[in-house]
Amino acid sequence: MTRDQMSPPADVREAALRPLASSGRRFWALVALLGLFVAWGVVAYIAQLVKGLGVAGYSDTAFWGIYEANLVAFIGVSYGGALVSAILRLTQARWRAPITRMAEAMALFSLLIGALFAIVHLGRPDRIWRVVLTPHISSPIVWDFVAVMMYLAATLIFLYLPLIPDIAVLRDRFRQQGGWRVRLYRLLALNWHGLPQQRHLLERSMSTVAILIIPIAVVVHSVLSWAFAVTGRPGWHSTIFAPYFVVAALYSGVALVILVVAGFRKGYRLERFITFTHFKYLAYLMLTLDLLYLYFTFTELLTEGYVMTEDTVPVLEALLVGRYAPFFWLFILAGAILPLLIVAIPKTRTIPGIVVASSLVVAGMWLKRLLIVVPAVAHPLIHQVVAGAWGAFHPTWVAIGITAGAAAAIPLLLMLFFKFFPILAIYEMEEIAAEQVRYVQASSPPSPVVVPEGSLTR
Amino acid sequence: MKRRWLVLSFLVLVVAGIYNPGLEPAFADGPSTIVSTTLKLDGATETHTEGWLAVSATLTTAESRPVSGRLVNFAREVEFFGSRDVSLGTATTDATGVAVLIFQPSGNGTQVVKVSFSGDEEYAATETSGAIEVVVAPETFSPEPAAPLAAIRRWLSVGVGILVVGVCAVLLGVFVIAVYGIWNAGRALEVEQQIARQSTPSAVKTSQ
Repeated sequence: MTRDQMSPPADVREAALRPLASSGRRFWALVALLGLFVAWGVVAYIAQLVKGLGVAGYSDTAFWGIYEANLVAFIGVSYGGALVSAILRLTQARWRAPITRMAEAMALFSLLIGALFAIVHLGRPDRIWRVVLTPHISSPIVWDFVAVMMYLAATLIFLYLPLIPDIAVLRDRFRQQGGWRVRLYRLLALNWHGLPQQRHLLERSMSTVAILIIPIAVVVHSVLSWAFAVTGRPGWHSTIFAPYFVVAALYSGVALVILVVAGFRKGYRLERFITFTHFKYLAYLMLTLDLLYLYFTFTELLTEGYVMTEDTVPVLEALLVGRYAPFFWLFILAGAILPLLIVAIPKTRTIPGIVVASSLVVAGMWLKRLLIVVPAVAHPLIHQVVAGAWGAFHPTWVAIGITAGAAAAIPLLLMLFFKFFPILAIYEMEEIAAEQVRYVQASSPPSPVVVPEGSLTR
Repeated sequence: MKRRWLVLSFLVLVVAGIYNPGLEPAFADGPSTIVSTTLKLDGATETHTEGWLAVSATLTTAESRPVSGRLVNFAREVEFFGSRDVSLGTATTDATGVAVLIFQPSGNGTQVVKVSFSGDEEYAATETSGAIEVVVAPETFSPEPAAPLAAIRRWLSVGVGILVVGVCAVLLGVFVIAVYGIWNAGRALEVEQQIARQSTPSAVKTSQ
């Protein structure tokens, strides 16, 4: 990376606060469109509450379906956002600064939406209290609940701490205006004045939270995988499910970070701060995770397919050559091979190319989550003895509506969040720029002292 | 004379065979009748192998003649998303019409077993059910693992619990320290500035 790309231009504050200015018609049109999808989701959920989970396509032979896939997919992308930010922060990757705020906000909102699917999937939201009041320690659902709550707290803190100095900028800028907004900024800015003591505390706590959030995120996704893997159900009962899920989360998470960054870069004309280099580095990260995910998929299929235990055969057959095969091979081609090629070939490794690859990854990984859930559930566990055939999950308008509403809620929440808070990490970008200046000054040879002629004689 | 009686008897049999509406004509394809059958569940006995039971059923005709070489299905009634039949297996009847199925029951207590014969070209289908008392079922599921495993599980739960609480405590601790420290340092500066602002006019007045 060149020094040019690392140093933020002087108008970083103006760019970071650009979304806070009055928005144009296109912004509100997009908000309205996304709001419509969210409203559709709310109506669908009310219908489900009134009529029961059956209206979402659930039955006794397909008792887990799209909601479980959504839960894993949405929490997964959240994990990607948090980890990208945490790892880049801990490794002192200087290019991270313009994208960390978007990654951290995306992590929080996708986690909030993902966690809501646990309630949607439950069918009876009033029963969620039983997890709190009468938890059964040996239940993976209880582990899930604890892990997700812990991760939610960590993500919230991880977003808030670096925001403190930036909120102070807002507090100072809007001081004259007054009103609830300034009061909110004043409260959240915590009397920040950029004192050495404050900076030291902030740096230390941010590093600690960045260290903590990595194992917490690993635990969350491992626990999510154990909700599947600790059952005896063919297709789920696998020892590699925890790392498999963790890699899947990172893979889809990095892809969504790219999409979010690309969207806001375009929308708020942040091209000067978020350059092709950012996309290239993120795409390389995505490519590495793509290869890792393909490796895990191959390992999983090879070990199960080679042994071919009686229970596993029907699920594997259905997935590879049976009724689910078109979807599975679609995922392999469009969700893994094609993005890999797009990023690997220099000619297609452009910003639009990387965005297309990321879109394919996000859609493909959602499909893969559905393929983890549905075939294993639809396969009758005691098919040899129970008079019954394969079950089938057919998503209804209710299930599709709730899913579409949730997917629309993430960009909507991000857009509204950035109406109130800076989209770029001002403090970090200015810190890195100042550090850069210090580095350049320290490394450049001392300029020769020009002594005016005859001065020594005076 | 004797021959005449023989001929008459033959004619009576032929006429009865042809004109009896309950019987099929002798020249029709296949067997002339499907014999009705009955099944009787004989109960279960413990086998020489521990935990395995032998459940038997006898297939006979209505006239109590044993039916041999026929497949008898054994199933158990269960409640699993509604009432369903779980197949226990099949067994073939021997010369005395007895089919014996050896199986490993999944639990103790009274179990309703259904036995059925699906019928063939010769014998009609039949089924029956009855309760058997299972008292020797092995523990296929053990809620409490063996002592060493139970200890490991208990300590593992405690360990994981401590770890979770510890991580949460560190996380919240870091957050509280950061928030308090930043707020306090900023507040101290603001107080200092306020004091300086208040003292400045008086200093000016004094100097005047």
